[in-house]
Amino acid sequence: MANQKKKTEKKQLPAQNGKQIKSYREQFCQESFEIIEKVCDDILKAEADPDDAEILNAIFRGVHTIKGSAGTFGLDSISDFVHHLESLLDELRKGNQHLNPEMTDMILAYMDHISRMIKEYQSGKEALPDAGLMSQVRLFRESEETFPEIPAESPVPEKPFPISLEEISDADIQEAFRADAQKDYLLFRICLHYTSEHLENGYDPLVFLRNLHSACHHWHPYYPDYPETSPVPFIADFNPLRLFLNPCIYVSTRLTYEEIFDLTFDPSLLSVQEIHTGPADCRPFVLPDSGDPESLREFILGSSEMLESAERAVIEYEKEASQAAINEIFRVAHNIKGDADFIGLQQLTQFAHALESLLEKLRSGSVSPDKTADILLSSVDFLRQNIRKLEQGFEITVYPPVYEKLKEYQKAVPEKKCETDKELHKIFSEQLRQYQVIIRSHMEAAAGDEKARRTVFRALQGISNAARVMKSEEIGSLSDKTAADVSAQESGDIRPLLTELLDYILRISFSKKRIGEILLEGGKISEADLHESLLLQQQIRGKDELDESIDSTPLPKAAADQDRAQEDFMETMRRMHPEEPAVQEVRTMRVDEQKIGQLTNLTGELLIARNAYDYLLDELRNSRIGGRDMQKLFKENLHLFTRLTNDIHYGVMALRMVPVSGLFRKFSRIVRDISRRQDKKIDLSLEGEEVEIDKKAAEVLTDPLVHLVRNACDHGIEKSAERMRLGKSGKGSLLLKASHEASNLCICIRDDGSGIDRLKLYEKVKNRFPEISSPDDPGLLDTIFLPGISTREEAGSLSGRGVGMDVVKTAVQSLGGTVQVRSETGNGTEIRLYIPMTMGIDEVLLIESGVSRYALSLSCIVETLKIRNRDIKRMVDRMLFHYRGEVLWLYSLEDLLQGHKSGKGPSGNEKDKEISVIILQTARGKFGLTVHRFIRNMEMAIRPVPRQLAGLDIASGVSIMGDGRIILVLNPEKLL
Amino acid sequence: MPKTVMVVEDVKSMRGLVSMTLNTAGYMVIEAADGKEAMKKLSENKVHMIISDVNMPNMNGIEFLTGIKKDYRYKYIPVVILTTQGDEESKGLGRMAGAKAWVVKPFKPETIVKIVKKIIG
Repeated sequence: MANQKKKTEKKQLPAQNGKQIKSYREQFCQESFEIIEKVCDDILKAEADPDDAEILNAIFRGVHTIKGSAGTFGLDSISDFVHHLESLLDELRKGNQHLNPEMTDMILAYMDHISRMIKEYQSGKEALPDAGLMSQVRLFRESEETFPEIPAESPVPEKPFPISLEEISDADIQEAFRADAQKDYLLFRICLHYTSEHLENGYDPLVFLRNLHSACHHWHPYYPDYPETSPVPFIADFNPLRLFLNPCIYVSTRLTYEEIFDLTFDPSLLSVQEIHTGPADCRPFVLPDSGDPESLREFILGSSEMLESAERAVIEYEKEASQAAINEIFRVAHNIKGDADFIGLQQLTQFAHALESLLEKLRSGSVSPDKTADILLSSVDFLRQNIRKLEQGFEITVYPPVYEKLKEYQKAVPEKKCETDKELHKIFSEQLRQYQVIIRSHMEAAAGDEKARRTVFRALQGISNAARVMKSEEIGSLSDKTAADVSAQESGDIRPLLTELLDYILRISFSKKRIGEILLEGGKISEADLHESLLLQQQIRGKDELDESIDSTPLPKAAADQDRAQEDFMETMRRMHPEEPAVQEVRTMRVDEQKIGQLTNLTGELLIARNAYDYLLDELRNSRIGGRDMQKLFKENLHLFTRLTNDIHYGVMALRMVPVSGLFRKFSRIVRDISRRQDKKIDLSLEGEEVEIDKKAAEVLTDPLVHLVRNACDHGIEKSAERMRLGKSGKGSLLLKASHEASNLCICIRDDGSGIDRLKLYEKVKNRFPEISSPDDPGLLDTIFLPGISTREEAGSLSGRGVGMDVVKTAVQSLGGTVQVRSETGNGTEIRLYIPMTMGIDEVLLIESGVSRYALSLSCIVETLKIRNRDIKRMVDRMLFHYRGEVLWLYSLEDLLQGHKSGKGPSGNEKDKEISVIILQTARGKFGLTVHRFIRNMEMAIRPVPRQLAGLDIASGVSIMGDGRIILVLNPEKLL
Repeated sequence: MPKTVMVVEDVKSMRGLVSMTLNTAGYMVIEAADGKEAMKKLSENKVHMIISDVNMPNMNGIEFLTGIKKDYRYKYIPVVILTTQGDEESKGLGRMAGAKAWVVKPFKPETIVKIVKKIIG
């Protein structure tokens, strides 16, 4: 409060101050003239007696005073001008320079000019410095020095890494701060470093604390050095001049980091750390200045998929210890390391590096693969966590326990160190080469294009980092320097700089002296390796010269560079991954070129078919062909068109298809984890991985499948001992199978475990569903898809809370699919998900019932048949008939559509009348449906039921006939 | 009750400017042209804080500082020394003598007000 009042007072008094300031300025001029006179006098004395240090000192002090005063009075031009002379005088008084007659002349002239400037200022004119004199002073001085800006009182220390809010132990306080953060307050932890010496000299920490407190919203001090007992002694032992408390304070405030330091007279008395609201082991990830948000995003996207592939490879490796698998894991770790380094994620880079070393040892066989699978998997997990955190903008700061293990392995086999060094060196050369390629390809553009310039800058930093790792200081410092130059030169030509660096790198590689020889001497690389890499570089060099001699115009040269970059890059990739990766991965929406080729062909044919119509129309006009033949021709062409449109439709749908293997991939891991944790032996077999599924459907199905697989492992399959007791094989088996069934994709999850306990389930649901009459009711199993139903007594860590199955059903239904469950107590459970392959075209049977036509998807029709009326048995108001040894209920479609669940159907009088019956397969079993007439099979473009009809669950879709009539496609599941 | 700041500076115009700025900011100011005069005025007034130049005739800033730190009556008065960029020597001497805060010359008058506020409020 008091401060504010003073501020307003200040504002109210400008007029009076102005007058006073004027008089002080006048005084300053007078003083300056006096000083100048004395300085001139002293210079002459000094010339006579050059060894009199005291006189030189006095001269310096005089000039120094003018400079300081002029600056304080805001006469920066004078202060600036004087500064140049002051620097020379400083060297004089320190004995670095000797006064000679020329210098004396110059200094005197300089002093005269200072005097002139002050006079000009006095008379209200602008005081202009004399550039000639300034350059003369500079000539006398050996080292160039720029005039320092008026410095801030003390520099504010660089912002340290933020800490997590979770470090505050008290939950209430944490909550209060969290709320503040939401209101855009900044959170800080401020620690005071006042000493008793400060207190003894009168510097009171309370002043700072008071000022800080008045600017903070929440305020929570604590004493980190003395968490339990107070350090303040009893009054008898109390020393008033000793500082007992140095608090740390958590604050929420509107002040910025810099503004907090503005509250103290000495920034070194504080340490301020920003607090972020993320989890404890993270800090917000700030992209380095040179970083590119785009590459970060690509990294996050790319590595998630790479990690999945790595995980699968680990499982495979555990099973078979195959070299291909370890190569795949290595490839992933290596790529992640490289990318993370490029983006500036030090932590991640180091971790990936440690992992890489272990993998390298596994690859070379110096570490046995036993028990490494767990380490590899937890490493993959950690990498994945890291990526996930990055997605949320955090960077993990704490290494997981597995890092220690990795490091142990890193240390464990020292005799193999040479091997690693060699590998490291190879990688280093590779990196150098890649960076060179990058720099070369962006060099031309970098002159004008900011983006290219940044790419070059990053590449330079990359070289520097890599060089540091290899302890190749020369390359490191040179690229650092170049990087600094590149960033300093906002625009303009940086090519010469880069060329210089590249040449240097080439030269030292060529001269065979620096890296090559040193490494060779150390036995780190073999002669052959060196030779190979030199040869390679020679090739690049050769090409270089070739390019330069052929292409003189810059544009083709750039293109050539690009080409070469591409080529080099491919070459690098080939060399780095000599074997095909073990597992194919799908990074983005990739489309098989073949598919596109087919589509292109089809479109060509479509054009031909269209032209045929032109021809036919022409013929029709000239009526050269008779009516009947014409009809035939038109019909033929229509067939062609039908085929083509169908093919194109499938072709386009196929573009969205990805192999189901991507979806199945993660299950090896899940099954393995569960089997280890629960001490079960489970054999997972995957079938039909090549079957393709719509990418969107795959995404939607991921979670439901995870749930189903967990269910199967967790409460389906029994423990080994239990299985043996039951006479089953000790190893449970779990099958994941994808297949096409009619127009559906069927995903089947089958286990040979205990199956669903019908009795238990019946007990659970009988009160909720009185219509389920006994444990044998076929409808009983469907209830597991209802929310809140579980036969599990207690919820385990994996499943059993009764949520989940309903989610499965919802997800599948959202894709227009169905779920079927079959289970035999004691013999396992099979769950089938039917996903319609194409939401577009379906083959249907058109039927007539009453006056309307309906369609039924062929995929649910088992058979159509005609039976005689007398073969139908009528019981009270229901119908039955024998169907291939089974007794099926028979319903009349007409009755069902009118809402009657029963009915006698066609009258029983005409015993010989043929009745059309459709046998339908539904989740609840087969049943027969009588209709008036089958019309025909046809392919229909089916659309979802419009919103207005959404309540009508008997329809699964609608379609429009050629004549404009709307047809409902019936959903057999809901007919009953 | 306004606090009192002593300004010790040999250049009269500078001294005047600093005093005026502090006055405007609500502080009482006592001026002294050198260490000797400052010592004398200290015994006559209650001073909360001292701002002192280093290069002064008669008794320079460091001598003055050493002097007051020896006297139990004045040793608890916080001192800010005015030093030059690069003049690490006098800065170091000042620190040793007990001046934990300094202002680098040339400074803007407002800077002085800021630092006074940071030290005595």
